[in-house]
Amino acid sequence: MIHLNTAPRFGNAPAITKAAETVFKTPAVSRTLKTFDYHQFADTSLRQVQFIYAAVIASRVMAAAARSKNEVVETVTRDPLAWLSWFYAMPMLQRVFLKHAAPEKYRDGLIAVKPKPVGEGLMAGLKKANYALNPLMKYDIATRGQIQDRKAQFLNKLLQKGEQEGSEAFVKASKYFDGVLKWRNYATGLGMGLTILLLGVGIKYVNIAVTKAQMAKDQN
Amino acid sequence: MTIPAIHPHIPTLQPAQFGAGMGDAVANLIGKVDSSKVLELATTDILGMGIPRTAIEQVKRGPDAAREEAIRNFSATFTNVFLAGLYSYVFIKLFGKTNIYNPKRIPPEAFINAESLSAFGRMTEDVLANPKIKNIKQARQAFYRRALLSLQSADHVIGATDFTRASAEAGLKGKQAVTYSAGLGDAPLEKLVQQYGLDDAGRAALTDSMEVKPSWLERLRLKKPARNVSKLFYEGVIEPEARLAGLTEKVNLIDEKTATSVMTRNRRQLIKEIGYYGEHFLSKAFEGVNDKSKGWKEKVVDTLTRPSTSKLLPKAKDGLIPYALKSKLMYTKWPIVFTVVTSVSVAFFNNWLTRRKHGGVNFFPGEGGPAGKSGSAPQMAAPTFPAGSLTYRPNVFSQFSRTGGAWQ
Repeated sequence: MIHLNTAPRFGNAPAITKAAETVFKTPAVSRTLKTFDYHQFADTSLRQVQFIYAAVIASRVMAAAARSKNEVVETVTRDPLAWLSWFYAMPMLQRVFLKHAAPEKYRDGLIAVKPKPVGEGLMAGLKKANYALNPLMKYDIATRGQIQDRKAQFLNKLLQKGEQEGSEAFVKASKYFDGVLKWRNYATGLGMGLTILLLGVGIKYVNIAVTKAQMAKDQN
Repeated sequence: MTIPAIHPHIPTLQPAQFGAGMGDAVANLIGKVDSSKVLELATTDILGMGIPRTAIEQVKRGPDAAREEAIRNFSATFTNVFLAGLYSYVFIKLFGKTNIYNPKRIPPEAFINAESLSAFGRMTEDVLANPKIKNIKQARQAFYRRALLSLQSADHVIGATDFTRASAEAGLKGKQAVTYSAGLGDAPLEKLVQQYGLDDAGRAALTDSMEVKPSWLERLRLKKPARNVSKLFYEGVIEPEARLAGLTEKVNLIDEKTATSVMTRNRRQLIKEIGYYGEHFLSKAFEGVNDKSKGWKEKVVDTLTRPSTSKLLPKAKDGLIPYALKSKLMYTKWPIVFTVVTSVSVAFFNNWLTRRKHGGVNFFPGEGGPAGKSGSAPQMAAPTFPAGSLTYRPNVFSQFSRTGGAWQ
């Protein structure tokens, strides 16, 4: 398994012209804007979705409270769980799958260990615990686009070195990147399948069973 | 839009490839889902929450529960994932042409990501502080060089092992092995700086020569030819160059002073944003400035960063960057507020609809029919009201209403 460095590389960075303590006139971005800003205009960002969904869940609990205690119980078990799994189940499952199931040969191209948090005190302690338990904090996985880009860059460099398109080295390298990409796709397919099962079927059946049991108890 | 291969031998990106047993449709879907977070969320929402939950409710608890589930989930897919973006688009179209909200008439594509904008503003200040920069042309090129150099592939170590393994697989060793780059090398960097610096005619010529063709959606959406050219130019000419020169899909914007990543973004977006900043901020700040006069650099910085005069609205006198940041906050905040108001009403609408369908009885379909748990029938006689109450109006928040009209 590959361990990521923290420091970026600066091969050809230009000389710094202003002193480090110089105050810039360009204003910093406010916290609200930083949190909810669009990455691509008119494309709702993840933070926005998370916030809006949380507000929707609150409204569902209020509407449920107006009707039935059982509905409140259903809503508070169903929706916060759905919130968590909708946003985090797939990336977590992808990481766990790639770490344990991907062949050794491809694994380094797919997953890497992020640097361990350092420091002392409560916040650092929480971060360390999160790092130990949460695969999202610990592992970084390559995106499909990154793998495809690396393939294009590699093959392009081979061509620049004088290799031909059908040559042995070209075909073998091409096959290697296809293999990496295949396992990345398996991870997404599996992650999506399990997330769908968890969100749609699992939580719903638990809901129905709990309400049924509660109603039977109420009648006795 | 179709992006041509830079090198004639490199095919354009292919969709996901699977072994036997996986259909093309699934492979295609996975490719799409992996390329966009919004699409991923919408897909898991519809396939994971909407469809199966509605089906299960229909089978297990009947049509009332299924209808509520369907309204709840499908409306949530729309409101959670798309509505805020849609509102922001509508708002910018509506208010972007008014003197109150957009006196400078900044076009929509100039509202780039706020953090990039702030970072680019600082880079411009830094570039102008360099005494070696003598005129506008140099300053412009120095900015593009600086911005492009601060981009580094976010997968730098994964990428390196990729290259090592692939070289080993292909039987290449030592000096033969293909090396990896995190950022842009010197030659591609200078080429890109030159390309960013082209005027409109030069861009159009280059775009034409690359045979970059807009998709039908693009043609519908972008009617203005000038805007069309710059978007096509960044996506069709600059972006593929940057890709083959070493930048991968996710890119860090590195702050040189602290050598840390300011943010991790999509390469395509950052490449466009550098261009839009150059067009709509840098070029505007250079407008009417004589670089032979004394203090022209201060004038440029002032045009860009003059603090805003109003707390509420963007004003014509504001510096370009504070102006854009204030507008951006407006176009980000209000769509969220509107979306929350819209989406929050859905749960109450669901209650109302079920109540209406069953003669005013407020009940939870998960517990059976309207005569379910409480045993109250829909047609039961109205109870006697205390003196002074005018009409029978079930209050959604009271104990009274949830028992279907019976007093407790």
